[in-house]
Amino acid sequence: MNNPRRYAKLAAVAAVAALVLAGCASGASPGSSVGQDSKPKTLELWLPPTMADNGASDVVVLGELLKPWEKENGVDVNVTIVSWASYEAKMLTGMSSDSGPDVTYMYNEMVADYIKRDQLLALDKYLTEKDKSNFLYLNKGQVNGKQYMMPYIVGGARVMFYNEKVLQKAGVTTPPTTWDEFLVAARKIKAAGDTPFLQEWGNPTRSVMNSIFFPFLWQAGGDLFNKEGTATAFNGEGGLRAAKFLYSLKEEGLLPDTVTGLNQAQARDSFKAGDVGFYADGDATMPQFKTAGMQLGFIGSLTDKQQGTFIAIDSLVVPAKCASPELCVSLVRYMLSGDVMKKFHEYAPFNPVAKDEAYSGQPEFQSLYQQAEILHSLPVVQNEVQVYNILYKQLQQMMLGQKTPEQALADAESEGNAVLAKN
Amino acid sequence: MHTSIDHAPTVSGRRVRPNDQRHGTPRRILRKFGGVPYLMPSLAILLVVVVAPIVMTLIFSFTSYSILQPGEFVGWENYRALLADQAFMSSVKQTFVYTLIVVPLQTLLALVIAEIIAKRFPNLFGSFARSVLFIPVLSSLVVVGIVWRFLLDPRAGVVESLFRFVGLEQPNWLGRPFLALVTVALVTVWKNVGYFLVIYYAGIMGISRDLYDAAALDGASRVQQFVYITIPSLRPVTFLVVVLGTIWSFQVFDLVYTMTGGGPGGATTTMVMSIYQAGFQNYQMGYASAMSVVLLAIILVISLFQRRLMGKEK
Repeated sequence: MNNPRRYAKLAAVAAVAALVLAGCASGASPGSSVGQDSKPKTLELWLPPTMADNGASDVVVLGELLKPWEKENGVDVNVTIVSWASYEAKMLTGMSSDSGPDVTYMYNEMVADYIKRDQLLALDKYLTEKDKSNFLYLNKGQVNGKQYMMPYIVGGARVMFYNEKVLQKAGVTTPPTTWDEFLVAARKIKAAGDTPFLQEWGNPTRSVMNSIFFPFLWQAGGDLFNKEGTATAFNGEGGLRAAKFLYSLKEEGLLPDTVTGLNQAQARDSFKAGDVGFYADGDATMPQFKTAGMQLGFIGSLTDKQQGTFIAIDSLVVPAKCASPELCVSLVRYMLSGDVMKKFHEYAPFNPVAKDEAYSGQPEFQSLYQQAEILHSLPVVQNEVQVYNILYKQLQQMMLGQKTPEQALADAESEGNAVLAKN
Repeated sequence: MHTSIDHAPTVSGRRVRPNDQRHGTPRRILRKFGGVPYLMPSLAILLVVVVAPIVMTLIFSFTSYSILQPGEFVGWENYRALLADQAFMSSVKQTFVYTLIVVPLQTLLALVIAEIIAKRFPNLFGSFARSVLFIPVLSSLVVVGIVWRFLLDPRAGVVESLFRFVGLEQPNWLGRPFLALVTVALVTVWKNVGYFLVIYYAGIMGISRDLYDAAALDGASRVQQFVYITIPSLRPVTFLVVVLGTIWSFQVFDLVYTMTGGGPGGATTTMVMSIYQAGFQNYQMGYASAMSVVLLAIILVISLFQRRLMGKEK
């Protein structure tokens, strides 16, 4: 045994085998800390940025808001703000590697896949009667009859902003309310030399469909999935109507060719530059447009067959790995309490989620939020993220002129149904 | 009493150095294994960071692993699905197109600029130029992607302003399918050329001046000297540049992710982007692993082919 090469080879093989066995043996162990009611000293709280649009720091504001709870419970809350662009990927890697959060924020598109894989805690047994009577949107947080989500952000309604100066210059005296009136106004704006309408079809992420496609889909009477969540529904009459409408806007030059290269930040900046008539965005962006000196108005929802627009109902959830479920639920309850939410909403103007807080959002949008029948949130369907990615890619190809609306929706339906069939 | 080396005590007839006596058996055992024990720390890191993930990826590629839950063994199902996956085949095609744009362009640019700097500016300006061209290499790909995205803003970017200044209409750089892929490729070239320039510069400086002097005496022009002396002399360097450039091109992700997200309409979705989408957006890590194995195989084949090509030319 005097051959060093032989030893090196043996050592290498043994090391690889050991590492592979260790890697295969580990991996996700969901719920490994469930049931252990030991009180942790630190809780990890992961949230996306919700205050940056209004110039505040989420970490700083939340750090202050959580101090009383930390003191009362003797637990430090470590707040991590994760960018929207990497939110899903970071959540996936964090939760799978047991280095994820104890309490976190999820939107509807994310939840179904985590519930299916037993990664989230059902909160029913931790909610008191007081909770059930106080929280306004508990039913929106139920999946398969269980309370997995506690609605936290209710708002972000997508509205059609308009630049009053641009409309006045074009001779549009009243803002449009229907698709036909919108077309007339857009043509007048184009004739006056300005850009009628902007949409960010070049955005890297599909979440922009909340502004650029889904409202038109619902206004045309369409829907995303069937009631059971087993098949797509956007390739129906409503979906085709919406897709053809947007396609025709581009063909007519009412949506410039450049929209296929615009991301959301660029579209917002272009709108602020002051030569664009209409732009759809979340209500929370109104302050930044006003700060840019714009004379601004908005339309809650255009009407085609009906009115309809997107509203975000995003929630706080408790991952199954939380070492102390009661403590995690206590943190959630505290974050959703009236006093805390009131201060939170000073920096992130969303709707109250409980009866113990009065509406303190932007007064212009209060009446919109009272029209619950026209406000749509995304459903909770397993693998829906994959379906939305498919739909977005097909619609982009439509806007590029590579496919007709019929082809794009048919292809999206075919691929989307193949994904849902695996559920 | 002194014990000299010449009369060092022995163990079993073999001479034992005084240090062995002082340090005892362990040092003798170490010497018996040659230099292997000294390599173990680096080997361990290499195994953990490189070899083990490759082996695990290969194993996962035969399962329905989804990260959040262990997967079941599915045999060749993932590979069969890949063959029928039009989106994946598009990403393979797009990766090849991207590579065919990037590698020749950055190789040629790096070589020409290195030649110009080495021959015409062997002074402070040449050093300054090399440093300036190396700055993009040091920049984060994510930052580069974000900055270029803003520079190429079709309505208010710097490039748009320049086009407007000269009275031209700016192309929709990131909004047309093929143009978006070309644009990402050109940004890659911009970022990489400084790195390969430095490699070529070192190679050129290593070529004997006598060859150029002799050629000049024979009446060879600068272009002829470049073609008949510089290029052949730099063949090993060119091989390195092309292989590295090819591997990097097949691995492109950051720029695509930040500049286009794989769009518009999937036009810039490369293989690594597909792997990311399958693994981290669609929760199909087993399928993504199969894609990774295919990517590894393609890179291996290309590298072997390039090596063979360079070997034949020698």
